[in-house]
Amino acid sequence: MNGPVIAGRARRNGLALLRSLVRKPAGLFGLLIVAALLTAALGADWVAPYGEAQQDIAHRLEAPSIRHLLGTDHLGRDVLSRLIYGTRVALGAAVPAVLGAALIGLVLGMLAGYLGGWVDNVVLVVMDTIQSYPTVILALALLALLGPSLQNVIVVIVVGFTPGYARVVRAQVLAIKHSPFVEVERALGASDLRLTLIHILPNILAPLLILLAMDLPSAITTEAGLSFLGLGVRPPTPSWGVTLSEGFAKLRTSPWPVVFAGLALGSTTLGFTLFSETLRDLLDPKLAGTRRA
Amino acid sequence: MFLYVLKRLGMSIVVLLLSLLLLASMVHLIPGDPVKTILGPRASPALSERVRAEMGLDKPIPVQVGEFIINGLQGDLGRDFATGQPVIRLIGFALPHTILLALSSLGLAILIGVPLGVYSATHPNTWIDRLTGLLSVWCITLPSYVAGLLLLLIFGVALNWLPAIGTGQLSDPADYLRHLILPATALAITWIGYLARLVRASLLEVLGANFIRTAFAYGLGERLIYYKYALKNAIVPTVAVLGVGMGNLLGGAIFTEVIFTRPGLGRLMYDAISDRNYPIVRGGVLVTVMLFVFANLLADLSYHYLDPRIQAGEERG
Repeated sequence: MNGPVIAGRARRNGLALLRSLVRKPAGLFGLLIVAALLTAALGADWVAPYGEAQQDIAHRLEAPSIRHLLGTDHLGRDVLSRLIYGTRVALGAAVPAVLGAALIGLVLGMLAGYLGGWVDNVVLVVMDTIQSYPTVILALALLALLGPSLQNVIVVIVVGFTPGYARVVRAQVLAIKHSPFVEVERALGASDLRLTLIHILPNILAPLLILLAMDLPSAITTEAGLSFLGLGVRPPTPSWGVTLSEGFAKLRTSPWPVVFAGLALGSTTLGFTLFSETLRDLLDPKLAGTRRA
Repeated sequence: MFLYVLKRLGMSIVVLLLSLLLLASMVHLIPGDPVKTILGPRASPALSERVRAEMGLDKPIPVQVGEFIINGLQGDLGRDFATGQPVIRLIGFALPHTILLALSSLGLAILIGVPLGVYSATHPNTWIDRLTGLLSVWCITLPSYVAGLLLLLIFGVALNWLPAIGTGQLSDPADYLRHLILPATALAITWIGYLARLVRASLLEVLGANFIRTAFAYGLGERLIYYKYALKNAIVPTVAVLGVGMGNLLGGAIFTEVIFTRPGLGRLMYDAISDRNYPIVRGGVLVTVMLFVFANLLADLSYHYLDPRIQAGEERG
């Protein structure tokens, strides 16, 4: 489709891309949120005012104050610090999960698109079946048996997100497979392996990367949501979902943990989405305006 | 058209059968002893044996899978561990609440999202258009459970305007409706944003078409052109995503039902997981998938009906 030009341009002009991203308000806002999140995750030990489990029993369920900027939870832990450490859980679940899904989807999609025939049909039917489950319901079915843990949440997200990648990759391979430059290579005697890895793969990376960036906020939301239901990460791990669920239990006494954990989640997904959508519009103007459900 | 319907119907049946197979074999596919996961590590051997026998886990695996599928096709989804009630009956009690919730959310999303999208598209680059654009991204990205918690906090707890928990009585429709407002809004927010965006984009495309220019040249009224001629064409892609939307709403309903303490399918499954009552989880998942597949089928068929240009054998990307 639009692959060859874009893949090359993106590699060469990383800096120029960043410059045009920052020039758009949405892109700048998104970039700032993403940067803040990364800083919080990497530097939690320095940035957070208190430890993630440090208790101040005398000051439980307190409203925001100078001492605890975002208040304290039911065990007297500092909400701000819990949220900062929570970025590690959010990214620690979402990044490997999305990468895993992209990798498996890439392999399946390339096999299906390149080989065609029964391989294509089997992959399609399996992906269709997985996609006939709303993500949360699929997660529920699997986690009821696997039991709640961070690893299992990652597994569940990988399973749920793989079909999206497999489909995009398959469609791209189908579009490129018969383009003249691939035909020429084949006529020159290039092997299937060489054709797929050296000629087709680089041309499907751009849409794959865009999808990856757009899936990160969904993965973060899924992890927090499952943890909120008690199916994902368990307390006392400071997942945002856990903070929400613990705060929900004490909602009428102190709303602050729920308010701030909700804001953290809301601004993270908003930031990541604006960042990835601006990136998509810049990288691939043809896709502008499209969005996945 | 007939061939297409047949093909889509066939695909749906294959997917449902595969789902049944998957749910039946899931207990065995996943490593570890399911009885141990269900009962916890400290269960007595006698209890473990009883549960094993009740779930039919002592029989050979193919027999179990076969039995589950055959019983499932006859509407028998097994029995609740705790009370011995048929799972299908429990689901029958819960399902109407969930469907009402999902449908009213969808209705709310259409009622608010579509006019917003139309207004934005017909007044491009005004401040309302920009504001709608910003709001719709925000709506789309806000997780439904965060929306639910914040709505509960603001309108249910702080202002105390609307009831925060339960469903009220169906015999008192006004009361039931009052209980429905907050959960339905929480669930609808994502789709309000999504529909506004989608309608705006597709309407802008249609408004550039020749037949619209002709209609303007003939002196037809704006409202007539926008709502009757343009929207009719622009709404087609929206119909296609409504099927997916219904699935997302059914999935999202679990959060809403837990937050607002409403009975429903999601709540039933949630409680069942906490009680490790696997037959209910399995039955609930199956029913949800059936509804989702059905909604998608319906959306696909109406999409096809609305826009006959879509060919039956079209490659699905």
